Amino acid sequence: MSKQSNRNSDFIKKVINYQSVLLLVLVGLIVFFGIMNTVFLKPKVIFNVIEIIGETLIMALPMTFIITTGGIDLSVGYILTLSAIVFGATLTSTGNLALAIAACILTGTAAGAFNGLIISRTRIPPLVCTLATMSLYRGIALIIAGDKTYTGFPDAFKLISTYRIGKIVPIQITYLAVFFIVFFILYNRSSLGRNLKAIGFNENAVIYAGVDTKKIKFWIYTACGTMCAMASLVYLGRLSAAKPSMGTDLNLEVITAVVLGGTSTMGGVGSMTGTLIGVLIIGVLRKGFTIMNLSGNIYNFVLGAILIVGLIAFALIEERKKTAKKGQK
Amino acid sequence: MKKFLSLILAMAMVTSLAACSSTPTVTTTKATAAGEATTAATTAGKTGSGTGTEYGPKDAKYKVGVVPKFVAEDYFIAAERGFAKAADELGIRVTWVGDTMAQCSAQNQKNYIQSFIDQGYDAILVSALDPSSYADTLKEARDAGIKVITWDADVETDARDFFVNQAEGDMIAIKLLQGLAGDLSSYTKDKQATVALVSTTTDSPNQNAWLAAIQKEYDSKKDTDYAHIKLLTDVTYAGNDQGQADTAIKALLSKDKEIVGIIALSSNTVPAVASSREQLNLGEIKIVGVSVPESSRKDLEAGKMSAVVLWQPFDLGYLTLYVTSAVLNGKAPSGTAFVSPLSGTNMTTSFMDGTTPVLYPAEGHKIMENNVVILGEPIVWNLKNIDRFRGYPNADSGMSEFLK
Amino acid sequence: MENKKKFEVAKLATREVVLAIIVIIFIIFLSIFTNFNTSSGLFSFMLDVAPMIVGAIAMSLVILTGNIDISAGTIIGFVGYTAGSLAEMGYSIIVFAPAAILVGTLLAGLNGIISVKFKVPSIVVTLAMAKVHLGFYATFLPNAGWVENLTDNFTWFGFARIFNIIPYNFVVAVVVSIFFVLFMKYTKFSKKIYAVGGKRQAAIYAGINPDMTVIKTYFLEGFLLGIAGILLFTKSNEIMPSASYGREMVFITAAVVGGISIIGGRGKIIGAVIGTVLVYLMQVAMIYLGYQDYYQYALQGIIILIAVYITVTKFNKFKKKPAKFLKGGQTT
Repeated sequence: MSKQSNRNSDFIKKVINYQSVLLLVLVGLIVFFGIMNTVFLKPKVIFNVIEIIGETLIMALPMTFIITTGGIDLSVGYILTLSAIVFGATLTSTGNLALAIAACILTGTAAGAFNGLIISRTRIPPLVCTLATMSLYRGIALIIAGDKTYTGFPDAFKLISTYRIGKIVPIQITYLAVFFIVFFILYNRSSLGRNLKAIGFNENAVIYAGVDTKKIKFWIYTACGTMCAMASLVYLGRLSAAKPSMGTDLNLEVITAVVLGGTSTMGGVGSMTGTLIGVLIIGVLRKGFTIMNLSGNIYNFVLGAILIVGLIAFALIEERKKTAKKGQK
Repeated sequence: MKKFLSLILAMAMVTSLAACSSTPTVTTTKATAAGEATTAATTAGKTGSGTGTEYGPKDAKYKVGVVPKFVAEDYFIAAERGFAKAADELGIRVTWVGDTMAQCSAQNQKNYIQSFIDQGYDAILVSALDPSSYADTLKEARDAGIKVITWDADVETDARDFFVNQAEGDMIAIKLLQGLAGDLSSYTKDKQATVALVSTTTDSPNQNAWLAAIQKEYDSKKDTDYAHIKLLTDVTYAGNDQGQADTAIKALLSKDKEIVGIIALSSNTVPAVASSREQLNLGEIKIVGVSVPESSRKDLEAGKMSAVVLWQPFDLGYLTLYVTSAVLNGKAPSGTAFVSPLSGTNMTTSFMDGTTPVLYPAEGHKIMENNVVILGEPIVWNLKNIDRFRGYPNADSGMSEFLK
Repeated sequence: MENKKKFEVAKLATREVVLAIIVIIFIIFLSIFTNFNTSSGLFSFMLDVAPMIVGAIAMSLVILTGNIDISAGTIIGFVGYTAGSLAEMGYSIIVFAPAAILVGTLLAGLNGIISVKFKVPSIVVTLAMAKVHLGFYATFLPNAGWVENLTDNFTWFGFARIFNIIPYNFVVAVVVSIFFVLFMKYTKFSKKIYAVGGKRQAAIYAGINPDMTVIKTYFLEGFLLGIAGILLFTKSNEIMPSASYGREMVFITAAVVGGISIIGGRGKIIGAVIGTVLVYLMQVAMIYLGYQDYYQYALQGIIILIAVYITVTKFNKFKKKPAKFLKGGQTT
């Protein structure tokens, strides 16, 4: 009898984990919004969700890495802003699209690298470091742009975010899928991923095991900066205007998505699929509420509520897992 | 056990949305003084709330979506009521949705516009935070046959059918300068009055246009009408936040003791200037600004402000819907003037005596190039005519002279 | 004998003293080059910095236990709304101040309870609660919580002064600061705060209940946030709660610059106070000097980095080799 129930509980543990519950919630939300306004289920509308979360997902992927190591990056929104401003400024002054894109990506990478340098080489905690660089990057963006808004991006460029395959499926699906698969493989099937989780659990142990944690930390923050720059290109493709006040909400939105997805801020535990589902939930909430003609504040309220309930659920599930493991011994 | 628990929690998460599904079906009947005809309004929120609101008959022929810059702020509350009134008169369904000042962004406005396109609305009316961010979305709407009309703040000209502007920017600048110059008439060419400019943020198109117009107006009459004024060229940006405004303006006034006059653009800066002056115990500083008169009532009463310049945002909303209706019915504004129910009726009363009526031109609202319809001339508000301001703070404020 | 004397002198050159010296230099600089030293400049400085100081102390208490509160800004928004709407109904400060402070206390306490009882890290609990607060304003409060045209029964407190120069607000802030500096030095509870933030396991062995300590600290933080809210809003005649979102970043910055370690267990309240003053001066220096606030953000970021770098490195160096430190040549 015990062998049978063990097999059952193993199965249950594998399938009923936090992420599958989250998936249920996502489906439940789609159903809910579909009932409230059938327009929501039109393919063109539902796919719009993918368009609006493009930049959030791109930034959430490296953020998952970062939070798994027990760190955090509060400056992502402003790295995006800075990269976007550099893009706009370069494009406006040289007219060379390729150069502008290159400058943009370089800026994001440099910003991320600066974070990475400070976090890996000094004892300044990531929270404080990125709190400071948040201000710094925003300041630099303001200094460069002043009161200008950069516009006039070529139509070809805007296609990155606006093109639809067969007039329905957004082009985002292609590159978002590629990014996700890359990060998923790195996170779950590579030694890098294992190291990240280990660093989150006990960094000293990893150092003693001979792993160069400094290098790892440096690279994840740098990669985060690069991804922010790419996110800024996607963002600009949709919103065709670069000004210093953009990107303010994205900082916390990205962190919300990652945490909602089941990556713990204490480090060591995380899920890339969870991040994906978390980002999709945010997108569905946003789109669903606007289709219902309700403003963004309902969205805030519900997202906050879901986050709290989700975190409580996550904590409880983790508790259960621990006691279950103990019981099995 | 765990499975059970997880499922319960999943359901809890989804049913937490039941809380919000109840708000959309609350019927709000406006319990205001008699004469207010918005009892037809149903669903989410009340005027000025942070959620969306619907006006007009449910089965109307046309559905129109309105996206203001932000909601829950005196100016837009008055405009919202204007839309509501016109919605009832015209029998058009109006959906009003936006974010609060702290949450608003061009990105969010684009989302609302997109959802109106998705839902197949007949027209989209936008007061734009940014002229170019979603020009493409608006063009997409027009391609789909949806009419796009901007009001209060315009977008790129080829992204919309019409723009209903409150007043010509130059006129606003002129009125502001004239009002201030008049108040500072005790100064002379040899003892000039130093006047500073305060705006909101560096990237707000309306304010920037007004600043340019003020500068132009001043330069053109520097040695004649404004010989007794020294206009500082540096502009102080006070932001949209009350606290930020207080700090920036206090710093300005502490820095330059010579300032005796301030031109303050946008509602938030005006009260900040008045309160900073009080806190710093400074002497007479004449302040004029663009602001909702009600918000400056205390300052007007205490003599800290001489006058404010604005228009009737209620009428702006009202007119915009009438323009929209005309466009939808194939009778788009053309020629030199557009006639609406407002034409020839009371705009307000004169600020000189409080009784002489000031009327909208009977021949109609001026139409300017690029399909711009002008509501009328900017109004100078002071205590004498403040009660004629329509739509704020109550739904029936200032309505006694409406359409008369 | 010689070394011992030098050691004691060096001990005085603690972080807080260095910070204070920087602040004084800053003030002197501003006084010479701008109008800062005039009575109006000083008055506005005191008026503005008072709520920031109280807020920074509130945040410091929470950070010392190893937690954080990202909803501090929105809580202050609620405090403001409560105070403002009660005042609008005609109640005097004797009624609306305690009511508003109570609201702040309860809300912050709620954060603490959820975080502790459900074992969820405070950073995400408070992040989520901030969103909930924001949504709550716009959905359930009339006009999204915006209260305007407040009259004298509300604003007199903000404008009142002693000796015609020192605002009441500032006096309150000073009283609170002194109280908490002493509180954190001499009471038993403060020892518990430091213990829980420093080494939680050790605290448990010492017989301290970390959960109760954290919850109590959050309630205390809420109480202080209530005071900060009253100080903040009574100087203007309108309240916009949603604009307070993000204010907590200033408090965190001030605390961190003042030497409160974000990991918990280390730092002094007096440091937080001086840190607040420094952060405020940074914010307004640009305006006083006549520049736009473009440079302010960049400058702030750099200064935070430098200040924190000093906290995390100098401390260790100093502890290990005081004699070497005295030998000079050390600039960090």
